[in-house]
Amino acid sequence: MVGDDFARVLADAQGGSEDQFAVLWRDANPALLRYLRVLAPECADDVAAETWVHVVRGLARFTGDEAAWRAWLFTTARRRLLDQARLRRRHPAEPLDEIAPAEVPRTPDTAQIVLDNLATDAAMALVAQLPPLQAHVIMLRVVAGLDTDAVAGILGKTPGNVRVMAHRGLKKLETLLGPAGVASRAGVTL
Amino acid sequence: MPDSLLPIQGPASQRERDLDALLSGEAGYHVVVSAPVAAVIAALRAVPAPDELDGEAAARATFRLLMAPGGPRHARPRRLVPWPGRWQVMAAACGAAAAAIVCVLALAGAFSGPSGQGQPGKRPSLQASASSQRATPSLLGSATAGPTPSAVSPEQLCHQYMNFFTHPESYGNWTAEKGVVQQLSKLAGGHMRINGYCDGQSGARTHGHHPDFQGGAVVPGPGDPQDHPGDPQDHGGPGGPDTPRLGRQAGPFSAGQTGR
Repeated sequence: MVGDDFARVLADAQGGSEDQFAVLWRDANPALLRYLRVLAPECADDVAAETWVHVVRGLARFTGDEAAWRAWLFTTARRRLLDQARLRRRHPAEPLDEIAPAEVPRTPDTAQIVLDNLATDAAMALVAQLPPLQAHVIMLRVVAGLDTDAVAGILGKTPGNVRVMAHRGLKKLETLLGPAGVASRAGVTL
Repeated sequence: MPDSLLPIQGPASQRERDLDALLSGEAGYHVVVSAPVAAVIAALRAVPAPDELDGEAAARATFRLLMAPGGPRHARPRRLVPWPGRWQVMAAACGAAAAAIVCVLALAGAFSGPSGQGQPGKRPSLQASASSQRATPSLLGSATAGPTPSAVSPEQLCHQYMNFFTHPESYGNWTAEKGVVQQLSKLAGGHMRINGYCDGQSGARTHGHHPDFQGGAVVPGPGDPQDHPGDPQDHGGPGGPDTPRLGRQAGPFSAGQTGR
């Protein structure tokens, strides 16, 4: 979260400051990517890029605090996600090759980052097994940091429905994990 | 996870508030989920991975492209932008055009020649207002109220009188001719003495200049075409400064000279 400086950062970004826009991007893009990788892992990066294009186009007209900003960002992402799903249904495509993600050390605490990343990947893979609506609620509540009302607004549900979905999602996760927890692809146990 | 966590209507229960706190990442909640689920939630909130920030350069490039002045975000359908000086320029252009038209028409009216006077029905209105309204009063006034030597000099009357003969197209202007003849008749003491009178006014300079009247016994010529009857240098008569102007604008000679 940007925090107290959000209003200034947003105003500067709306005025054309690339560096301040980068602050917003660095703060929100990881959560955005995680959200999209859970719900549409095959096109998460493309949808994220489209989302930012739409956000930049509407940035000058946006008004609101940081919670509203994140709600707007994820609302845009969900719309792009639905567009992408619609497009893929009309024009199904099969990838010819699967490119393995590059794992290049970039920071001094590489080991911890790798462990965190692996745990995050495992957690995201686990959430991706939930029913879509429950996965939406869990990711928007946990990763995007939105409250119940904002999630309800994005999904077109009532806050009570969102709470029910969150509860069911957590219960489903508990069932999937079992008593021994979940093992990641790298063998790291959460 | 107990089923009592299911939300109910009304005030949120303690467990429900704890669940909200867990999902929101707030501290101070009681353990409402198992440890593995809590670990999953914590893993979802882990610090950003490097690959999640790899696209910053591309995002910055997109921002530069879309937010730059003149970029797609700033592109607007072209519309007519109010131009502060446009009406002033248009007004000046229209004024210049109107002035040019007026000048052309005024010149055409001033130098339209005796054909216009000979055909009153065909004269343009501007010509009528430019020539007849200025020339006619003195001539008509002298014709109706008697001779007014102070208005038109005898020499000019003689010139005009002769011009009626030298320019047949001016015959149609009977009113002016009648006025001139009446004035000259009174000045000369009769119609039969007009020629002699004018001959005396013009002097020897007019004799033999006009071929039309050289053979005549008593009719002198009006002089050379270069001899402007209304020219103040030649005829600085008592008519004052308006007289030459009248002669040039309404006189048959001057008009006929220009018209030819």
